[in-house]
Amino acid sequence: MKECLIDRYNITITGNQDGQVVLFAHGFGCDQGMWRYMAPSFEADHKVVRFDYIGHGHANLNAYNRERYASLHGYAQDVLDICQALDLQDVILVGHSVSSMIGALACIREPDRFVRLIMVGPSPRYINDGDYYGGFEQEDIEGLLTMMDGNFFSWATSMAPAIMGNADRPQLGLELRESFCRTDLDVAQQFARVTFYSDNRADLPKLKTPSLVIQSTDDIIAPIAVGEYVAQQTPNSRLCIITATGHCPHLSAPVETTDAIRQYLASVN
Amino acid sequence: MQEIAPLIPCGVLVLNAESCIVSINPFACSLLEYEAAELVGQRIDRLLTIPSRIYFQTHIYPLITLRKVASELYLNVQTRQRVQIPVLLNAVSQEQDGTSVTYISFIPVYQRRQFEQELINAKKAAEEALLRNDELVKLKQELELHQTDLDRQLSYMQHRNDELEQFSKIISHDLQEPLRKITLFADLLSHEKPDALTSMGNRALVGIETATVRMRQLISDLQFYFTLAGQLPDLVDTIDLAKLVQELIREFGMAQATFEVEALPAVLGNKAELINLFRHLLDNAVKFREPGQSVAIRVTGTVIGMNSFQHLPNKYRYSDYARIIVSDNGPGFSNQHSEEIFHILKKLSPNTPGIGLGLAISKKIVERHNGQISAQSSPGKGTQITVLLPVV
Repeated sequence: MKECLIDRYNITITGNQDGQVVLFAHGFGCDQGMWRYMAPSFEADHKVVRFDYIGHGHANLNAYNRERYASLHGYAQDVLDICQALDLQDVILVGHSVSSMIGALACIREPDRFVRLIMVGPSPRYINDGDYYGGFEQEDIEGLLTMMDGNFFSWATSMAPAIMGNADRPQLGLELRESFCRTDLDVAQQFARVTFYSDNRADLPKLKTPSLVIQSTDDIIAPIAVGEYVAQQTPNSRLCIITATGHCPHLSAPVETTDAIRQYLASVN
Repeated sequence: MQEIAPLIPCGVLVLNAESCIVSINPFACSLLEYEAAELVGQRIDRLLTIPSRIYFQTHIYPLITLRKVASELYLNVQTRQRVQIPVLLNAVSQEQDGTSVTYISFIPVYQRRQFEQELINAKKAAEEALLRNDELVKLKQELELHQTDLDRQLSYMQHRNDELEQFSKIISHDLQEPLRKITLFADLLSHEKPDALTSMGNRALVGIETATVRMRQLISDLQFYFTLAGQLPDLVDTIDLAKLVQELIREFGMAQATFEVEALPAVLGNKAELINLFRHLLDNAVKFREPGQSVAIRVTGTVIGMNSFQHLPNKYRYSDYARIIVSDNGPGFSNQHSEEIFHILKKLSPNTPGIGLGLAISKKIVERHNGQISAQSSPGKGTQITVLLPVV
């Protein structure tokens, strides 16, 4: 069972095997490669677990099940299945983007398994709804799906191992062969639909696990108003606004993002 | 080189590490209807449609950061007047003076895009037809398989049903009859003159009377258990569980127990049966407390999303369930028994009151409501019974 899951989700375990577990869950659009700048600083004193959702990175695409992944609950089940197979206890769960809500659902399902939830750029609902500001309209999301379609031709090449030469920058050769951010188009589009059409506002008050919202200063996907909303609606949640910009502070400002997490963990332990 | 830069017929953008525009070439400026000075220092989002902004943040930025290169990406840029222009772009990222700089070139692809869209539409239609066909074939196979299973199960159920009916008859008539007679004879004996029986005979008589009372209770419980067959009756309603549990707690007014009830979700169910269910669960927690000690009982609830398929593998339909947890700080039991406690007439300790039907009945009620029930316990640490019921 354990080996089967390690293969299915391409699970990598690094760091101090006896340390407290930090489980990193990537967001929509990429894979566990997103955590490569942050993971090393946790490896000294934590057991660091990373994985790819089905259809992303090197997870086993054959394990994709349309019915299961028609709901964020199916993705939350992935997180819980991984925790169960690896017998992870007292987990610090770090989720980026949609994985913040996936993480929240997992924590609500099994509150005893998780001690902290770190949400990087969360949004419980992307589409505006009455007084609620999510930042997007339905047609924006439809536009995104069309755009993903439009990238089908380049998608085909990004899924294949990168073969182009980089004579001028040989240091990149190795990394290129690892081919980051591979996603299956069908899976990615389905994930986009589930992500951007979900409404998890009603789940926030149910979250008992203490949580931290890490909010970038200028994130068009999850604006500050949304981060504030999440922190307000979630019991025992703290908001940390960092100076980093964009939706991927773990890529653009890994040190600042890591510090925010570490300070939070130190202050509540 | 310097003098041909303004003449290059493609857009060129240079971005800093914060995705802000450092420089932009004349082709791009005239295409997008801006002066270069207006754009320098602005984030690239300014030039993108909203879907393109999402795509840039979730796909292109990670790709450029991790791979340092991206090619043939399709996006929509927008002019000052918000006119959309489909473009294809290439990007490379380099470390310069300790910070990363991204070079982007792009060309408008109005016509290509139209052809591509047609290709994609045709491909999608073909794929969808194929997928639907595949799905239909798979469904047909599953259906055939299930039909055989179903038929087998039907004949098994039929057989079980006949057995149960007979059993029910045995209980209601055949077992009752000798019991009635034993009661009658014992009654006759007890009306004898006080000295007609030896002291041993008197003790035996008391024993017979106690045993018959117990027997009667057992038969009536069993009868109730077996009448709880099949699907839920038509009488289902929206039930306010918090109110229901609070009312039940009053029945335990005299018991050595404290109760704490959180806000509980409403569920769809049969009120009489749900009262029966929670009465059993509360009663168990009170009944099996450490002798002479008080017990603290907590009832908590949340709504969670669960797969409503419980038996078929690889079938998923997530829907909302109320998860109610009844926990106590009583003596608990070894978790290895956590399944068998729901079996009929199963008692973990012969010294405790009751006949071991409470949890079996509870399980039956929960299953009739298309729910699930499970237990978790460890000796000395109390017991936690988890009930999942579909919400309204």
